This record gives sequence, structure tokens and C-alpha cells, in this order.
Amino acid sequence: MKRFGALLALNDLSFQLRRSEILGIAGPNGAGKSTLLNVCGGSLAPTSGEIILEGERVDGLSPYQMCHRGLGRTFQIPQVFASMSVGENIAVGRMFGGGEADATDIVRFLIDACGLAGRRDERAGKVSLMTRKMIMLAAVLATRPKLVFLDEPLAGLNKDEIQVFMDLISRLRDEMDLTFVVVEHKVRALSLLSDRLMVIHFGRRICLDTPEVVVKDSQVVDVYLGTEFDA
Amino acid sequence: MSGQLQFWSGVAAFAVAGLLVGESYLYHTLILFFIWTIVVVGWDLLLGYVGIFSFAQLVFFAAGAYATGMLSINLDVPSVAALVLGGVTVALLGLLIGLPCLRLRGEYVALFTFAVHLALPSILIQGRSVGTGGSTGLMGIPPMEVFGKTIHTIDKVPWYYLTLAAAAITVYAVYFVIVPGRLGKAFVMLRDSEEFAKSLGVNDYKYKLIAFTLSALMTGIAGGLYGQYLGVVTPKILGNELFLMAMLMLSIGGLGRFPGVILGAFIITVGNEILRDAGQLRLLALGVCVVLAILLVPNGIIHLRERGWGHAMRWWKA
Ligand SMILES: Nc1ncnc2c1ncn2[C@@H]1O[C@H](COP(=O)(O)OP(=O)(O)OP(=O)(O)O)[C@@H](O)[C@H]1O
Ligand SMILES: [Mg+2]
Repeated sequence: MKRFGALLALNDLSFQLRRSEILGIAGPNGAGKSTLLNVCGGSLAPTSGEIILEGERVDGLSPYQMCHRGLGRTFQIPQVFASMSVGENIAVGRMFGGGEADATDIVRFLIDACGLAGRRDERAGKVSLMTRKMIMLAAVLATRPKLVFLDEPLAGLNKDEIQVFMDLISRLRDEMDLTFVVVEHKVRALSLLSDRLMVIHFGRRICLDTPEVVVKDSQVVDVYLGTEFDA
Repeated sequence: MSGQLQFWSGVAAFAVAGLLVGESYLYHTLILFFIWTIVVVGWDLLLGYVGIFSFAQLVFFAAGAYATGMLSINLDVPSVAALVLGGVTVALLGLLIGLPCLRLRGEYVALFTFAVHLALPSILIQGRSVGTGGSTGLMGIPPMEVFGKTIHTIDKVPWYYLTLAAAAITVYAVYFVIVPGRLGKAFVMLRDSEEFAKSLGVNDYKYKLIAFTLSALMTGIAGGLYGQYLGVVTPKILGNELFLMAMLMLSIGGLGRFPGVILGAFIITVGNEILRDAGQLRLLALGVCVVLAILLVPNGIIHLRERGWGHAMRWWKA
């Protein structure tokens, strides 16, 4: 649970993640999706409740400790280190991420996988939105997380870029044995990408199931999808 | 020209110049330039690289002068040991001032640190009982002694090389060891995007405290040298004049890029000596210069080259 004064941003919200799954999270603006990610990433301490990662409680740890425990995250507003080169942005993820020492090749692998090879020496402050998102993703993965939270990774991207990004996430999930939690407003794309889908509203979970079931759920259609969504 | 080459040719040029100057007054100006170089480099580390809006830089400088002076006057500590111990004391002070800043947002860090700056003169004036010398300050700080030789204020050439060496070591350590290394990476990450840095495993508290401590250490030693060179230090060290000068060095020179603030320190120390006769007007002139520098060269002269002179010129015409 997370309370901001009188506002309950997360209310009795609980869920379990399965190893190597992609869990999609959708919900109206202000539903508490980013708050959930901030709590899971250590930026906010939960008012009450627990977060358990592989049997260990990690709630209330600070962000860098969350990272060292294997919890990665990206931000709704894309973040990069603007004065560093693209390559450096990813290298520092490995440098500070607390991953194993033998991960030397991970930086090169991620730069290639995320299509950044040609931009390695460009300044990260000057690249396009898609590239910023790729840098952010690659840097987080360079910390060798087990579990990654992505906050609206597809926002602002065009159709082709969305396809590229979705393919990349599926591929990295398989190749790096990752678990993903993806917060996204683009429900159609999200239901293609996710193994399970959770919809939250006013900080409460209203549905958690396979995408096919969720998009037909009457409550979900009511509060979020409206009638125009026919799966 | 690469940074390393610039650095070594600069040091060599000043080393050679030391043999040629011959004029006591010029030596004095350059000695002050070397000391101020350490101060602004320490400030650049904190403000330019970590992005911490600390205005306690002259607090560290004054504390260094006082700590070193008090150690040798009141406790008879030999001058070199007093300088080192003074530096360590100020490093601890930096750590202490850094602690509350960890939980403050940028603008409050600026307010808090500046409040410390404003409070320190009265503390020094009230502190006669602990040996601060009250409003007259510390008189007769014992001069530096190296290898059994005493270096008085009038011994310009030894002071010239001593402060040149101190400045060179500091500049090298900051721009060619710390900044390119792991510490420097963490600093720049925190500056560019604190949230992102933390999420990638950067321990923000640890690195910010390291930055405060290192900055205070070097600045404290600069203050210690300043006191030993002049032989006197009074609460005026925290007055408007030196504060404006230091601000001007940063704003004219440009933060976060070698040799930005060093160029600033050079221009301002030399300019200040030229204006020496202007008396009270000098303070006004300095204030006007700070405002103009911020308006005309918002990123300092070091960033003009890459952006061309276009920005400054546009401003001029507008
Ligand atoms: N730091 C804060 N202090 C007070 N209220 C907050 C804070 N952060 C978020 N909130 C509130 O909590 C609620 C949930 O916000 P959150 O950002 O988690 O929504 P979201 O689901 O991510 O929305 P969006 O789809 O617009 O990104 C909102 O009502 C928001 O105004
Ligand atoms: Mg959000």
C-alpha cells in the first residue's frame, strides 16, 4: 500500500510474478502504475506491505540497493546521461550495477541487440526518443537484473518502432532469462507482448489474467477500455 | 590540444616563468592565482561535476586558513603538519556540511550552504575563547617551513613554486585521475540524472559525501597555504569581495570542463590586481562583472569554442 497524505495511490494491491514471464500492467491515468514502479524500484517506500524477491524482503531498500538485488527499472520520462556518449551510458550500468565480474561482453551484446552499434560515440543528450529509450533499456540490462520494470516503454513511438521494441523485449527475455513487468497504455500491443495482464484502477487491482480474458472482463471494459475495444 | 598536453605545457610555462618574472608584485599575483585555482577546482568538482549547488566553498577556504593557523599558533604544531591536519579537519567539516545536503533538494542545498557561509564570520568573531582571535583574526601565523628552511611572505620564489606544485597536483588529481575514473563517472551520472544513476546502482549518499569531503580537503589546504603565505587571516576572508571573486572565476571560466575554472581564476586574479587602485569601486565592478558574465557567457568561456561565439554575439546585438 502507498499513501500520499489522504490519497491511497496503491490500495491492497498484491500480485505474484512468475519467473521469465512478461506481466503487462494497464490502467487509467493516475491509477498508480508509476507509483507501483517507484515502490518496486525503491524510489518510494511503501506505507505498508511487502515486496519479496526470491524469498527475501526488499521493500524499503534504496534504489541502488534494489539494483544490486537484481531489480531493474526504466522511467516514464526517458532518462539518459546527456553528457556521456551512448556507449558510456551502457558501460556505467555494468560498472555500478553490481553484476558479476565476468560480464565484460554484456555491454557489447546489449549495444548490438538494442541497435546502438552505429551510435556508440554520439552524445546521448542529442539522440532521438527511440534511441533514448534503447539507451535506457540497455543501461538497465547492463546491471544484470533478474527482473525489469518498464514504465510506458512504447509511449511516443511510431508503429514500426513499437514493433521493434516489442520484438526486442521478447527476445531479451528469452536470451537473458529475464522477467519483465511492462506498464503501458497501448493495450493492444501490451496484450500481444504479455503472458499475463493486470489492470489497476484507483490503486486497486481489478483484474489479473491472460490478456484474452482480461480484455473481455466486464469491469475492465467499464473502467478502462470503454466499448470501442473489441479483441 | 589534448587535456594532458594542455596541462603539462601550462605547468611547464609557469615553471619557466617563475625564473623570469623577477618582479615581487607579479609573483604575488601568480601565487594568489595558484591558491585560487585550488579553490575553484574544488568547487568545480562539487558544482560542475556532481551538480551539488554548494555555496560553502569559502567556508572551507576560511576554515582551512583558521584551522592551520590555530593549530600552529595555539598548539605549536609544525607548519607542514598543521597544513595537513588543517586540511583533514576541513575535510571532516565538509562531510558534516554534506550530511544534511543529502536529504535536501538543489535549491535548499544552496540556501543551507550559503547560510553556513553567512553564519561563520560571527562564529569566528565570537570564538575568541577558542583561539580564533575574534574580529582581529589570527596575527602572525608561523610561516611555512620545508626541509628546515623557513619561507616568509617575502620569499616570493619559494612560495611561487610551492603553490604552483600544490595547484598542479590538485588539478591533475581532479581532472586526470578523479574525473575520468569510477568516481568521476558516478559524479557525472548523479549530475545528469540522479534518479537514473541511482536505479543503475550508484550509491548517491556515498558519492555525494565523497565529493563534499574531497572538495573540502583540497580547499582547506588552499586556505591553509593562504594563511601561511600572508601570515594573517581575519573574518574578512568570508567577506563579499572574495566570494564575488570566486563566483566570477566560475561563471567566467565555465563549469565541468578542464581548464574552464582555471582560466577564470587567472583572468580574475590578474584583473583584480589591475583594479587594485579602484578601492570601493572594485566591489561594484566585480558585482557588475558577475551579472554580465552570467548573461553574456552563461556557460563560461570554456564552452564558447564548441558553440562558437554566436551566442555571446547574439546577446550583444539583442
Ligand atoms: N509524490 C506524490 N505525491 C502525491 N501524490 C502523488 C505522488 N505521485 C503520484 N501521486 C498521485 O498518485 C496517483 C497515482 O499516480 P501515478 O503516477 O502512479 O499514476 P499512473 O498510473 O502512472 O498514471 P499515468 O498513466 O498518467 O502515468 C495520482 O493521483 C497522482 O496524482
Ligand atoms: Mg505513470
